Amino acid sequence: MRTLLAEDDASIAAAIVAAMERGGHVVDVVSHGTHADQALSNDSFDLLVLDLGLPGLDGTEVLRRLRQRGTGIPVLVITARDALNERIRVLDLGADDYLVKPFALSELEARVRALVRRAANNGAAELRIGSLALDLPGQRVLRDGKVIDLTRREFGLLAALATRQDRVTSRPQLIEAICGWDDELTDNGLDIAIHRLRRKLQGSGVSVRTIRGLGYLLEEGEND
Amino acid sequence: MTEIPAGRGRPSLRLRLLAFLMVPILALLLLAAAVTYVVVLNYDNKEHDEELVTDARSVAALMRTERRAGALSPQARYLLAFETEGTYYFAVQSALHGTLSSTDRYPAPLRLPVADDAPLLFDAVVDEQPVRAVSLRFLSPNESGDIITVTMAETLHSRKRLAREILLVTLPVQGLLIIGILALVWVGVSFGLRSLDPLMRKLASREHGLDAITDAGVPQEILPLTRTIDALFGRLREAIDVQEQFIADAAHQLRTPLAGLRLHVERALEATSPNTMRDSLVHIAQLTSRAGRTSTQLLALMRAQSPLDTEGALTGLDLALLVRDAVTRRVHDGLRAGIDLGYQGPDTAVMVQGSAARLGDLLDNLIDNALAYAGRDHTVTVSVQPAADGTVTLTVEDDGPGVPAVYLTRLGERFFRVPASREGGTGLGLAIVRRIADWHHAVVEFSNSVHGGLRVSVHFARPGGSA
Repeated sequence: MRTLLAEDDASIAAAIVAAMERGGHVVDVVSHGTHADQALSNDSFDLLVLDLGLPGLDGTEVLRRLRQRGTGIPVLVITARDALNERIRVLDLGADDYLVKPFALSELEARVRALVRRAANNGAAELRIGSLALDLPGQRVLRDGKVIDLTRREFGLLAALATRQDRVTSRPQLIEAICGWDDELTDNGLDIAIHRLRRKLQGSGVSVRTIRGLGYLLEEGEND
Repeated sequence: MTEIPAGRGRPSLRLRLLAFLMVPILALLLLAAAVTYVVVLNYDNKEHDEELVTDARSVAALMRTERRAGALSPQARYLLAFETEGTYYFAVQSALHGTLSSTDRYPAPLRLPVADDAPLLFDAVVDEQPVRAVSLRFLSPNESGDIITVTMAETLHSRKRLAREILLVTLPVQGLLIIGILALVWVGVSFGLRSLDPLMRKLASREHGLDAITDAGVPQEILPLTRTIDALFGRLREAIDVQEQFIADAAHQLRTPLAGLRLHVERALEATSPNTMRDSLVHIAQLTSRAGRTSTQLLALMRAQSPLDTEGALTGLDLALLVRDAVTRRVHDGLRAGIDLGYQGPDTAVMVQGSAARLGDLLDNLIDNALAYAGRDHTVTVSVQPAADGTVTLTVEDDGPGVPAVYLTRLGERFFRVPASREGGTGLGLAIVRRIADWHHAVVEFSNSVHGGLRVSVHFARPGGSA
């Protein structure tokens, strides 16, 4: 993974580089907005970690130019400016995630992992969660190479949850997502489908967690 | 001092005053002209009538002295024919001899005046022209039994001329009068406004002073304005005092973790054993995260306090949707903290008047607070309850240890922290909640839940209704 880090504070940059290299990234560091823009237009990176408060060219401008060139690499923005408007503006400009200073390194690492995974899953035919592999075109789920027997409805549920990995999927969203497989689904029907899916996922290292009043979350690890 | 350009569309005192004065002045001047015209015309009519009567009497007198029966003397003829002004008609008739002399046409009175009595003045029409006429009758001195009637008439042209001439003189004079008034108003406004100069100079010489300006010798008409400005100054002073106090508090709050940091950095630098160093680093990690949280919270409180905020517009929004989104975002934080974070409320829209950005801050702080103090393996529930009367209650409730009753009333005070509570709180979260609620005219209520934990309720008034 080749990552560009645009950060003008040397001590913060050093800490981020150390953490990311530990996570298997090859990190190039620039401390100037113009240099970031040049690096991004000349070389190809898999990920950009961008501080908005850069000298020279402002971070938002670097981001705007990057997206103008049609580059779709994931961008994690770091900023000390914490106003909701700012967050919306940056996400609108094409950032994928947003981290406010001060932050914990573990938080940064988690966000980077999620971004990389999402980018890898984007448009992929196969989704991986823990030991499960979802073959989307084939509508099959494999665990360690062996097929788990799921009905179309159960597979639809699992696929809907897996594509929104790390995010809560609400009941209406689930019903909408699997209505393509099954014409109609009542609230009760959804409960039953979730119940059956849970039973079939037992022992697979992946489980469906209920988030009270909000929906469901696909998790690695057994619980409940 | 910068000049403000007199932009188009900016109201002007002069123009207002002029517009206000012009209509009545014009009306008054027109009325004066009309009255003058009528009075002059009336006077002139009387004059001409008297002349007519005099002429008629002269003819009669001549005829009495001439003593010629049935004919006119040359003098009388001359007197009748000689008339310069306007068109003139006359007739001299004898009861016995018929018309003695006349113009081609002449008016006849509707009724004849009594002989040897006062002449009769009347209006008539000759040649389709209005005329004023007089008739006079007397007994003929030459021939007993004969009665002579003298009728004389003139057109009205000469009568209106004088009135018209007077009017022609009056109108330009009145025009000059109007121009004079306009000029006086123009200059007068500038002159009147000059009484504000001392006040302006006084304000211009100030740098940051916000003292009252009402005593600065302003004219009494301006007092309502200066009193309003003074009230604004007063509020600004208060706001500045609050900000200054806030900055002092904030600096103090940041100083505490910084002092701890410094001590532990020194300790770590001097440490010889890795264990001591590690212990210091653990403290340093805690202190830095606390300082970071404090600064974040201070900024949020600042935002919540600031009335001048573009994020702050009140709009109708779906609170249930906002809460579901906010709770959904925090699910992972709940899982990490080992807390079952959930939502309770309708799936349908629950409308309140609010700012989505600020309510987002409010929810984040309430959830932060609950996640921080409920404790592992506890439950936190965020609920939205619309009431039948249109009010809406947002509640964040946990089944953790709760807050001792004596401290419940102090929650929401800036920098207040429940004694002996968990380390690391900033004492700002609930203060932010209270500020944002105040801003929404919502009421915050802290109580202990029936499940044992803290219960924070925010009561929103009915949208559009008074709180």
